[in-house]
Amino acid sequence: MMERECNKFRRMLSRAVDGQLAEAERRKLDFHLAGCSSCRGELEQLQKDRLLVAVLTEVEPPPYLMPRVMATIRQKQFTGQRRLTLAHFVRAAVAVLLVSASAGSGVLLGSSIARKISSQSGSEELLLTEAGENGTVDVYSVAFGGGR
Amino acid sequence: MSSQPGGESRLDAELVEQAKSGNLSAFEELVTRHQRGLYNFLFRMTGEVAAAEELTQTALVRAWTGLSGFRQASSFKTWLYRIGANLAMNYRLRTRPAEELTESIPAPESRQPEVEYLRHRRERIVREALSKLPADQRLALVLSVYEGQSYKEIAAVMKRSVRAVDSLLFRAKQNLRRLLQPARDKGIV
Repeated sequence: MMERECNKFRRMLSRAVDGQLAEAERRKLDFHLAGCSSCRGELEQLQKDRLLVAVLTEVEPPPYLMPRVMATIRQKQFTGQRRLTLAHFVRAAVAVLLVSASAGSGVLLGSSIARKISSQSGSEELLLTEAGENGTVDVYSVAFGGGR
Repeated sequence: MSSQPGGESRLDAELVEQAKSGNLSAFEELVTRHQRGLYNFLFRMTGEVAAAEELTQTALVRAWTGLSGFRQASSFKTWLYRIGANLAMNYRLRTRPAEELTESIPAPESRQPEVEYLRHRRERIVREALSKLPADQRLALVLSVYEGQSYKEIAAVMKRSVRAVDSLLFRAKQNLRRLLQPARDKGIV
């Protein structure tokens, strides 16, 4: 009978060592613990086990780790910028050729749409619209020819 | 994480905003602030120094590349550790526990070599026991014991219910006790 009663408190004991008991649960458990040496022993063992894990020595990251991380990030940033610049330069160059020859309704370039628009100053501008990351739409503008 | 004081989180939030605008120095400061904790978290998850190094680097680089998508709904630390937790769980799926802990941490020099030796041996046994826990139980335990997270916070990191976390931690403690029992019988722990 007592063992069956204690089983109901096992989960509570586990939460107790993690400091996750609600006040009402805490009162209920304290009342049970006052009259149950078996559960008091169980609680003590759970606390010992937790302490064994908690006191494991921290390890020091190697001194080269942070410089290596930052070097990787700088490299990614640099190659990312370079790729973006080259990619857009090439697309812009192709688009200028195609749109100049088109009637002005726009040209599909892979995943991009190139559209020629005329600005108020009389110069012409090429808008490159393409799907960016995370569902965004990136618009790039390239001015060419016809300026005053 | 919950153990991080409010002021620390606020400073992180400011650094995140600066880093999002392309300020690499701000991100470097975030790396400085979190690399040690993240490294220890990943070492406890994988049980391997080499894996902890590799995963720390991957997590920090991913944090940088994914920073624009981080809306600060949680603290930077929670977000960073979530990236680390995912990497560690995937890593654990690729490795078998028996293969782990092949590397050991060198014991620090001590004026009491015998005491140090016993402590080192005890720690090795506990780390071994931890490494044998199923990955999800281990993650819950590490977040609870070392990061001081509440069940609700652990549930958010693991994308589980609070009830499921409660069960995971209950089973983790039962398994840990079973795994430590032989050493306990010998009086080592």
